[in-house]
Amino acid sequence: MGRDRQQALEADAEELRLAAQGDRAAAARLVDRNGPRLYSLARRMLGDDQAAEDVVQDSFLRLWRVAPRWRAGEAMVSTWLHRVALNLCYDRLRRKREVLSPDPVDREDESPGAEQTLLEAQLAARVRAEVEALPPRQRAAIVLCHYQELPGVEAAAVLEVSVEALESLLARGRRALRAALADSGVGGVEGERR
Amino acid sequence: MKGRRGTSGLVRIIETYGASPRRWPRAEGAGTPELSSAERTALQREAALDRLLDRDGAEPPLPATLRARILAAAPAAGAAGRVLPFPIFAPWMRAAGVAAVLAGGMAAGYAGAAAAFPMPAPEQTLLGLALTAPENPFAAFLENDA
Repeated sequence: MGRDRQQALEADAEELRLAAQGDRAAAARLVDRNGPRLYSLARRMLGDDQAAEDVVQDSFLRLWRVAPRWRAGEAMVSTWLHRVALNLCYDRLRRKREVLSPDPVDREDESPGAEQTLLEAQLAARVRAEVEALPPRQRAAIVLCHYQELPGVEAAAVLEVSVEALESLLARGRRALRAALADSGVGGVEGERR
Repeated sequence: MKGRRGTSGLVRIIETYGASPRRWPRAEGAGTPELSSAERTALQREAALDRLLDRDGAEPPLPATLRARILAAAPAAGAAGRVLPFPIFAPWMRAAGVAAVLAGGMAAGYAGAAAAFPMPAPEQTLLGLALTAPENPFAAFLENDA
């Protein structure tokens, strides 16, 4: 393991140890550093802001619970939190067993050029719907690597798969999105299916 | 200069990670000066998909109320190993729980909270009712399993 990586793991563990001992500033740093990304992940996986909030909150509750027993060197806190949040998302998706609505999400936009803005909003909503329509693991790979820009190694760790398996999920997800959005100027390959 | 993995390797990287080298595996070279026709085609195609994906790139911040709930449930000094979960699972409990926290700072361990704030009797509080119920759903969280 590289020295930088080892130092990062140790610093991570120390901050969590402080939080476990009641250091509110350390807890706040952990929340501020990891919360927004977890929230983004859960929103994109579930398509539901309230459900995403519950997932994020539950993820941190579990972190607070294991904090006293956290062992330095096993994983970054961010990786652990992402993994927990993703599994909670999978659980919710399995329980719901619903196809996420393809309807565009209404978004407020006060910029000038109302018609162009509306078109932009509709396109953004369609992109989101197509990402949400991907199989969960492909969706997770796209969210982690494209939107959160996690390195492949870290994304693979979150998904608990090999890098090769992650790359397969990414490639299939991107291929599916190209096909689904082909009429938006992406140039999908004829005959592609998910 | 072709990519270190050859033409097909770079095309595979582009089709997997997209057109932006910042998303590529660290070992892959960025700024390859000479691209084959296939590589250029792949870059253009994947760049178009990247731009489309970025149309939905806006990320809202973490809601302040959510942040407050999470921090309210964080371990308190002297309560290592005992995490009292904030009641979140029912929407009505969520709102009531926020009010309880704001009113009396009750989300921490009892020892620290009792010293810092005058606490109402358990039967008068939402959290107290949950913790003293015959079938305490939070019993598992109160055990010191360190």
